[in-house]
Amino acid sequence: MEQRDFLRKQMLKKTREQIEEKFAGKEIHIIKAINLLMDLDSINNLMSENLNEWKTRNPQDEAQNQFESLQKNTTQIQEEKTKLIEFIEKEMQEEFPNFSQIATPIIGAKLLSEAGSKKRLCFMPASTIQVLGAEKALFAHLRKNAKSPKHGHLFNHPLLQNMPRFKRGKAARIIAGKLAIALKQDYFKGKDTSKEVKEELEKRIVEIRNEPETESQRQRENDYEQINEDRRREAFNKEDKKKDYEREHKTFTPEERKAYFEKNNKGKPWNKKPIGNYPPREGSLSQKRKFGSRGPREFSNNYNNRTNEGFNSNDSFNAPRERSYSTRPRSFNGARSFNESRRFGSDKPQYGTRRGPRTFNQDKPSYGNRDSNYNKNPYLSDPKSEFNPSYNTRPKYSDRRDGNSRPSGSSKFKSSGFKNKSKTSFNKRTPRTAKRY
Amino acid sequence: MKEIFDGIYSDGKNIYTKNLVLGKKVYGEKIVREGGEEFREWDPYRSKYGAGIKKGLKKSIFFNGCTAIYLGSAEGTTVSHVSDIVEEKGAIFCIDVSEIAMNKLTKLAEERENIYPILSDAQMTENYKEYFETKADAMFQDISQRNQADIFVRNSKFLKKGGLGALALKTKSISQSNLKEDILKSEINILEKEFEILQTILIEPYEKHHYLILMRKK
Ligand SMILES: C[S@@+](CC[C@H](N)C(=O)[O-])C[C@H]1O[C@@H](n2cnc3c(N)ncnc32)[C@H](O)[C@@H]1O
Repeated sequence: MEQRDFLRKQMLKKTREQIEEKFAGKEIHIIKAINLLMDLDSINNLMSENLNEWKTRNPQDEAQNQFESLQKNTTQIQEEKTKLIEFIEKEMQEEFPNFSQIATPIIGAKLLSEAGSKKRLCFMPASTIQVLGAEKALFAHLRKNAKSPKHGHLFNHPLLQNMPRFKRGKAARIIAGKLAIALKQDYFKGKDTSKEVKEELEKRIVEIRNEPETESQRQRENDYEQINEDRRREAFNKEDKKKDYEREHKTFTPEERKAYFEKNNKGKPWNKKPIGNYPPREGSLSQKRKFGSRGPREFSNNYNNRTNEGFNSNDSFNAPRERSYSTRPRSFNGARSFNESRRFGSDKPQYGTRRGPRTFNQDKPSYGNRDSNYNKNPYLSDPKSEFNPSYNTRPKYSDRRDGNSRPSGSSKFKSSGFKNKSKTSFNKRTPRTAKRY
Repeated sequence: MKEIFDGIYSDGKNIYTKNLVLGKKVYGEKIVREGGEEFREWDPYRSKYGAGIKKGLKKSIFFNGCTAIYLGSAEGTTVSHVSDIVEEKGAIFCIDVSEIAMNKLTKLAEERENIYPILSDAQMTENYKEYFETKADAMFQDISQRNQADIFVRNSKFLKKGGLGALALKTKSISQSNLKEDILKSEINILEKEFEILQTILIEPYEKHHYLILMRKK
């Protein structure tokens, strides 16, 4: 009995220690802070999007008061964000001196949040660190035969910016390798070698950038170009896109535009680059949201640039990325779906929703929810009722009898007596049963 | 109050266990005093084993003084009742991965001297095999994982021959689309490697898409 009691006390002590180890880590505050930062970011984006739209309607009196106080809030959120960033940078420097130097504090914190705890992050293999944050793509890759992701949160790493597409995977792999080493140094409190490692890394990245393309890379690049061109052509053909194209150009002076067009517009019309190196339209979605196939979520520009500071930056590193139709957001009022845009009270035309804005025809009677009402409504279940949707679309006998819709062949040979024969044959024919929708 | 199984009582409507720590509630259940003794009501909506008893379990796997393994103990709702059943002589080894749940369980373990907490993944039996040099009399599992049956079979090496086991099977965590009857069949196939199936109960009004499987180790 005594022995058992002793065992129980030991076990209690052990589990309590394990729990404490999990809860006591300082990194939990970094994780909470970075999660909050990301949420604040999306809140801010949503708010300023809506407010910008509201502003175009000239709010007056009450509305103006509301508008202004809300706008004040957005600036406050901005302030909170900068404070949070400072906090994260400081804490990361303390907890992960090597790692945060190489990864930049914000990206490092994102990786930490994805891993869940310091210990787990520190014992991760480099290949996992490389795709941390791209879980969705990774599992798609494992389950189906989708492409493997090249990078997760590392996508935003300053050294990866503006790297040619087919070298990015390689560069990301090398950075992840260095990060894994740095993490181990931090965990076991090794010496601070971040400076040398960083220099080495930069040298290596420049090397990769300067490597000539291999044959297979060029091939893939060509394939990609082909796909892009198809997409652009499709986009160009849409009326909506054309309007948008014009609208996007309003912000530039005619001279600027002319000079640009002369320089860039060769070849097929859909290859014209409408925006080029001009900064994107203010408040445009593409600045803010890059989800899904377009890569992980990006932070808004103001502190992405901050994280560039510590690095030797070639000009090309910081050059704005080119934007093309394929990377432009689907709908430009900030809504992801038609319903969402209605909720936000926008009546701007919808782009990218397949059907476009739904129109309600006032003249036609409404059938209500067809699934549920179909059997209840006597008109709808009666195939001869004029309220039956299939009734009106069905060809009428009188239509069929005139020359145009007559089956070809019969008229050529049986010119005499045709009318009588055809009449009887039509009369004999049983009417089509109503097609069920 | 009638004793239906060892340590489990019924008043014809609800089921109860005799409270080991007088005057203390664990999860906000009712306390009934009768004949100088104190009974805690066992809520079948909160506990899958309790639901199984309500739905006509043939035999209770726990008894007074038994050594039990409880996989997926969570915050100790069911464990507290099992602790009432086995009383001071018995022991319950509670295994769970979640630190947050285990934190609450350790608090329960301080009050109840027959609870032995182990913070570990139930799939890694290596972590806690040293505690089971003498094998257990009963084993219960309630873990919502895809490989529930596999985990149960893997842990069965700590159960003695002829010992009873019960598995609360959550069919939704195995497949969202397949029929629960089909899932039950395929899981029983896995369990039959080590166990003889005694009874399967659908505990439906209390817990949706759940079965309780009663078995004996071969
Ligand atoms: C549905 S709850 C159990 C509820 C408990 N039986 C009761 O009635 O009070 C399932 C528990 O299983 C635990 N669990 C899940 N996966 C596990 C694993 N692989 N090993 C051990 N425990 C696990 C979860 O942490 C959770 O607490």
